Amino acid sequence: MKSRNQKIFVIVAIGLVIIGLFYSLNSESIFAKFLEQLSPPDWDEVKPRDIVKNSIPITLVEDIDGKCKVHGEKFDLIIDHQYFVRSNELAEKLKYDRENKTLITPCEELKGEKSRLNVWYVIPEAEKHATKYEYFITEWEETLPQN
Amino acid sequence: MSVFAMMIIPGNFDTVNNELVFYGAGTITQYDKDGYEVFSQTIHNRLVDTGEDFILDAVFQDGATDVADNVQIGSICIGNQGTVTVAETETAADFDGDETIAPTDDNCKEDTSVVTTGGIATVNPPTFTCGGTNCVDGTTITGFAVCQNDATDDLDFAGCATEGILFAVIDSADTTLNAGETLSITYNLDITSGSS
Repeated sequence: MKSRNQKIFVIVAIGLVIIGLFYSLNSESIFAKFLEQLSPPDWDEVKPRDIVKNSIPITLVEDIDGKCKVHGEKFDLIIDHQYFVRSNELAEKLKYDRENKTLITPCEELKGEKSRLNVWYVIPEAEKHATKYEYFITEWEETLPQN
Repeated sequence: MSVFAMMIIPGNFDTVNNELVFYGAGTITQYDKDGYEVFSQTIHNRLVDTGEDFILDAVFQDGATDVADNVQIGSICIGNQGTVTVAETETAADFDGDETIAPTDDNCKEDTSVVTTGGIATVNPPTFTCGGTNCVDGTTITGFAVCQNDATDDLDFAGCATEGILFAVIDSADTTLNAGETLSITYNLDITSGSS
C-alpha cells in the first residue's frame, strides 16, 4: 500500500514538474528567469539601449597548433569599461596578455591576417539577459574617416 | 512541490507593456594617425532633465519663445573627466566643471545639418583631433555631451554651458588621442515606437 502510494506520488510529482516546465519556459516565472541566466543572450530580447557594442581589429601573430595568437591593441578599452561587469571572464577565455596586448582564439574563427573582433555585452540594469556577453569575429573591411 | 511553485510563480509583477519608445545612443570610432580604424563602440546615453525639458519646450505651445534653428541641439563636446557622471540631474555646468579640456581648447563641434528621418535624429559633427585643436595630444577622452549649437557661428567652441543646456551625456570607453589620431562621434536619438 505504502509502496503504491509512493509510486502515485512520484508519478504525480513528475507530471507537475513537466507541466510546470512547459509553462515556465513560455512565461515570466522565477524558474524561467533562472534558466535565462544559463542560456546565451538572445539579442532580439534585449532592448537596444541595454546593449554596448564594441569592435577592434585583431591581427594574426602566430599559429600554435590550431590556436592563433592575435594582437588586439585596443582590447583593454573594451574590458576596462565599468558597464562590462564580467569582462574578466572574457579576458580569461581569450587568454588576454595585457602587457603584450595579445589574445588566443581558435584559428578557424579568424577571417584572414586581419579580422574584426566584436564584443557585445548587456548592461547590469537590463531587464533581460543582464550582464551577459558574446564575442564573435567577422571580416575586417577597412574604412577611412570621413573628415 | 517547491520546484513546481517556482515554475509557475511569475518573476515580473509589472503588467504594463514595457515597450521602449525612446532612447539615445552614441557611437565613437577612433582612427590612428594613418586614418585606420582602431576602435569602435556604441553605447547608450543618459537623457538628462534639461534635455527632456528642451524637447517639451520645443514641441508644445507653452507660452515660451520657440527655439531658433541655429541654437537647437547639434553639438557634441568631448570630456576627460576621471568619472563621467550620467545622472539625470547633470547640467552643462556640471559637465564642463568636471573636465579640463576647455577653455584652453575648443572641445565642442557642431553639426549644423542634423539628419532627422524615420523618427531618428543623427548628430554627426566633424572629426575631433587633438594637437591643440580640440584637445592636447595625449588627452584621454572619457565621455561626451550632446549640447546646443552656437548662435554666433558654426565653428568649434569651448564648453557645453557656453551655448546653453546639456541634452544628453554618454560614458564611453576611455580613448587616448595621441598626435595625428582622430575621433569620430555620432549620436542617435530614436523616438520610434516599438510597433512602428
